Amino acid sequence: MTTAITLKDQKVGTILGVLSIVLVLVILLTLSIGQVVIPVKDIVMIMLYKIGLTSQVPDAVHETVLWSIRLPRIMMAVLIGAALAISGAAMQGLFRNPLVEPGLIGVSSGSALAVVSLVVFGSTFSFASASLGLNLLMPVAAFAGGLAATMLVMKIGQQSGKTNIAILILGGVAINALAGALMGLVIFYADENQLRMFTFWTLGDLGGATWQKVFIAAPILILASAWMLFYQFPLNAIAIGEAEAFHMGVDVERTKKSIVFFSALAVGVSVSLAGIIGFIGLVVPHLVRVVFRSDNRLVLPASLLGGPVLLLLSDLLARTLVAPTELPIGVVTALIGAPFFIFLLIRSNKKYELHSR
Amino acid sequence: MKYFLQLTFLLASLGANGQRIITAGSAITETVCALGECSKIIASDRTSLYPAEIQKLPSIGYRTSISAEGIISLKPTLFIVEADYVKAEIIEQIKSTGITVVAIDRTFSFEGTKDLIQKIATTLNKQSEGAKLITKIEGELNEAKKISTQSSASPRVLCVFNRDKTSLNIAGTNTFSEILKYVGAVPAVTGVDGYKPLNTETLITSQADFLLMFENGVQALGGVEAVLAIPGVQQLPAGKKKQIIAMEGIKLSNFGPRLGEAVKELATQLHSRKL
Repeated sequence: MTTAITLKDQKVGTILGVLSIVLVLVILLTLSIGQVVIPVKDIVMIMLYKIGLTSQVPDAVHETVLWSIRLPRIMMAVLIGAALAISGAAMQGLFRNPLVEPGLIGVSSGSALAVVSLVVFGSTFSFASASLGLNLLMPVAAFAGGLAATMLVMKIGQQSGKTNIAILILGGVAINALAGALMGLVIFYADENQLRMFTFWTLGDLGGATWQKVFIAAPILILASAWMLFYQFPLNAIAIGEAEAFHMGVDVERTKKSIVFFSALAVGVSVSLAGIIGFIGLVVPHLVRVVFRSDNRLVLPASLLGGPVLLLLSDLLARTLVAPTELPIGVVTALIGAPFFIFLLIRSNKKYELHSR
Repeated sequence: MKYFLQLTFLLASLGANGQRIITAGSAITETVCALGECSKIIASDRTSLYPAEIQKLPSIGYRTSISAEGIISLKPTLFIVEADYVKAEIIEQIKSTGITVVAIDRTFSFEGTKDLIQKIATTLNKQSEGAKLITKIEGELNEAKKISTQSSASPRVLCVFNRDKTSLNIAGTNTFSEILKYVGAVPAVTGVDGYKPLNTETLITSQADFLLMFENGVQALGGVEAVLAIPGVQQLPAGKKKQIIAMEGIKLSNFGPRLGEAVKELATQLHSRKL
């Protein structure tokens, strides 16, 4: 039975190796393209200068743009892309359903609601009005909001000890609607500036990336993403069925709790950094499954590498298509993701059910 | 040849006092132009529509769509921006490339207008022009005061803001409705901060003598007749007497160089008619 969904280790290694190379190439590509034109030669010089291999001082403006604006943005896109994609992959595996995505079941909007409330009402508390206080509180609030939404959705989907996927998805729809309405209510009390920032939270934005933010978020996102990588075997077992997984020695409840916790952590922190960026968590794991196979030993690490690739390319379009201004990143990912999602629905309807039973 | 062209371009731009300005915020753009430096603006944001020549320049976008790299790529020397209009991180990124950034608070008072003009005048080294502009506005405000004190009544005015046919908003405190202070009028609805959706029953209970709207708002609705046909308007003194005032939106709401003009125009309209 297990042989049907496993691949030879060697092949997994090859695929992951190729994806790693693609990711490095995409990072170099996105680093070299932007609204400020920096010749490749200068980019190499700046990099060498920064590592200390040359003492030739590069053009100051080019250096700042590359080192303080473009590079932190790319690093943030890598971290967030990886976190969203592996969260999506792990949740799809856990719930044994291809439609589950952090955005779809309400995790993202739960996080966004918590953050928006903090931004609008936080200034009434003195500890939150300081900008540092707000910067530190935002990831915490986003995580709490995301976790609350996930637990609520799981509770709704729970029927006599089992998870009913249809109810779970409907629960997610309801939570999205509720969070959207509550956000509307909070926005009603917002001032003009807070109101305009609404697009930031609902459509995402990578434009405010700084090294400070990258350094605060990196440990959390890397920990949460790496932790989910360890659940390849339990998720493969759960793919056959929860009872079967239990007989194979998998602690199903512990797996569930861990994945829910760490995906809420990863998604929540991502939302607090860059708002809701949709469809990465849905599309990337599916691309891996469609192109290769649905063995979680491949899907989880390949999503971890593929998420950054898709987000980096989307962000490249967002920041260059309408220069000198930029598009919200969520618009680009949804433009790519939504048609794919529709294709997926039609395909799964006509050919076969994507989730294994 | 390429370098020669670049050099002449550089010299040409340096010739005009060396400044290449990007503005973000309608009142700021208008003020820079009023001080005679319109030609040095190389790009502006989406709200900067006056004077009309600004609309030909590249647009840096609107609030969250404004990108640091986009601004840097236009090679400005000075970025004058409304405080809190652009995210703090973006401002820091722009500053770090050596571009001077001046942030000015958006306010809805003559004090704020004075501060706006003085700050920009100092930045552009146009102090005497700035002082002249402030004196002109002060004169117009005094004329408006004379007009409004001549009539004993203080009309109830409901400020309505709309962009399209469907969403009408009450303009409350901290919006252009603050102009009522300078024209001897009172807001018909109190206790509203910023823009909030207009409810028909609120409209009727306001018992407004006048509706004050943006010209393009009235046009979007389909003209004054269409405004009079909005449910509830006929139940108001403003509707019965057809007292709908439409003013150019930017002039009315900017609290910039044309504040005096706007106040005078509004005072004339409000007090020349019988209540």
